[in-house]
Amino acid sequence: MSRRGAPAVAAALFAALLCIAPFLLSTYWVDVLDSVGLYALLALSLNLILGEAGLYDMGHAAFFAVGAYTAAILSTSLGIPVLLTLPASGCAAGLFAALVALPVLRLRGDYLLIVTIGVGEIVRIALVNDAFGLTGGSNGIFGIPRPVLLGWRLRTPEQLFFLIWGAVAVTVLVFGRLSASRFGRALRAIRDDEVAAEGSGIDTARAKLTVFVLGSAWAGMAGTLFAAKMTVISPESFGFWESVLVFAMVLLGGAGSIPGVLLGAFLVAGLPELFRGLASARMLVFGLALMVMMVVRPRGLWPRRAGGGP
Amino acid sequence: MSLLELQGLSKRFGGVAAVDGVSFGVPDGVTGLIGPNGAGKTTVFNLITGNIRPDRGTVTFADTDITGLAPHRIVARGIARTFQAIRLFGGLSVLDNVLAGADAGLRAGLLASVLRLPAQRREERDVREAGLAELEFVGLAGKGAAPAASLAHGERRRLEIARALAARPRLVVLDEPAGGLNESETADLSGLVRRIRARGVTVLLIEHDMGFVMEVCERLVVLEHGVKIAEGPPEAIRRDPRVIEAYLGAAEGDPA
Ligand SMILES: Nc1ncnc2c1ncn2[C@@H]1O[C@H](COP(=O)(O)OP(=O)(O)OP(=O)(O)O)[C@@H](O)[C@H]1O
Ligand SMILES: [Mg+2]
Repeated sequence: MSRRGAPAVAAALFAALLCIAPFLLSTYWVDVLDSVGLYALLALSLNLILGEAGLYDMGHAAFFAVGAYTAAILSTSLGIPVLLTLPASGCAAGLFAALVALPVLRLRGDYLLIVTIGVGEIVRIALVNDAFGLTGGSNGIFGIPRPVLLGWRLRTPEQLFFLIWGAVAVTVLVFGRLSASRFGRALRAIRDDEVAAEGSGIDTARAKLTVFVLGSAWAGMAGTLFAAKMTVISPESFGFWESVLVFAMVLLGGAGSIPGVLLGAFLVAGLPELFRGLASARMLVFGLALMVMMVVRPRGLWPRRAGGGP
Repeated sequence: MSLLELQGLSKRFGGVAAVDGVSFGVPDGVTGLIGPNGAGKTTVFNLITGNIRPDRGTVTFADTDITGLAPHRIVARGIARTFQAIRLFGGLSVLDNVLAGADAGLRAGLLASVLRLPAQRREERDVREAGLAELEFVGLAGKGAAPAASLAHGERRRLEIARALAARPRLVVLDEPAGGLNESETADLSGLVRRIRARGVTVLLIEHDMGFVMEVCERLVVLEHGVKIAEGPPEAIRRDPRVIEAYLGAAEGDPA
């Protein structure tokens, strides 16, 4: 009881703290938390692919970009309320992921890593070159309308906070349940030994395709929220570095562990804000911290337990 | 016709004819596939379970041609396996290893899992119960929550068998189940194989331990250099001059 009780109490405390945070913190810090929340969405969705299934995907920002641009284009040129573009953004990113998956998912480990990096770069370059005459080149897309939720127009970081962290809560619930189901079990089996997983009766090709498309579609929907928050998007928000950051969040926090990945999002996206003064040394410190981590705690700060429940 | 029928199976790796025109049937009961190192036994298993496609020949199971099907489809048809070098999911709990083996029989989709629909919850409850029963069957009761990586070698062999049985197969193929086991563990394994057979599951196994093979197998098939050189009841195989020669001629794998 107490072994299961403690994490539940910790989770409740964390949720309560988050709920009151926007009332206690300055607008600047609430805005930082909004960014952390968006990164948390990306990290949780990559965790499904990288942490659970063990697929080395370092092009997650590409699917984030597809979603963000879908939302931006539909809302600015067709006047669709930006939050209503969520399904379209998810589908566009998911469809793109399915296309990428066909040749890519056969690859293992380092090869998959390199190819997904390539996919990320191709998308970024396509955006810079004003793909289909729709993406606005390196200037990007302006004037994305503010999101409207239940008749409320969300403008301030405090208002957006509840939209973004509400999405994180939904994501934690949905992915937590998936992880505890036969699907999560199959993914972890594939991660540990793909041949044995197939030999145990798991349809590994299908599971890998499903998780890649689902995780990417989720990143696409996070892209919608990003577009709605920023009102302006441009290719530089979707570069290689973003994919690396999200990748680091998953590994640093503890691949496969939802609390670990949330912690990773806070550390990687939040901590550098605390050390703004060190601007130029920031990334150096970050890189060193990652290296030390990988040696000291190779399974992450808050790894998933092998035994017991999910 | 036997439950499993191999017809003229051949597989080359580069210049090596690992399996060369092998045909035999596996009737109900326990059949042993023996032969010196490198004879092609594991390759035959991989051809049966779909891990490798044959260059020529067919695999027929329960009167249907399963040649070239993906391994997970073959499991769904009723053939489950273990591996010569144990392949468990080290990061999963012991019970989750068994449940992974039951996956082909589960129906719940993504949406049902997210919504925790009653059918999905029932399915999970049932498969857990069945998984715990398999653990008990192989003598791993009470170990379900432990990480699979924490098990001792003999326990890992048994967990792999439990995972195979969780698929509710009609045939299990065991690749050197006694490999690395001590005498008392091997004796326990003979008992386990008999109990598997008593459940009505057909067993095909590869084994170098001749004492074990002679004790548990009702029929033997002997391979040498990818070719079947003998087939029949253990007593006859033991006296077969070609078999004796094959084993004496080989560097390892003394049949004594
Ligand atoms: N994937 C592969 N690629 C190349 N050669 C292979 C492959 N698998 C097996 N072989 C070769 O095929 C031959 C038969 O190997 P196999 O593993 O089937 O033998 P075995 O009878 O299981 O031997 P052991 O008793 O040592 O396990 C050997 O010469 C082996 O080197
Ligand atoms: Mg072998």
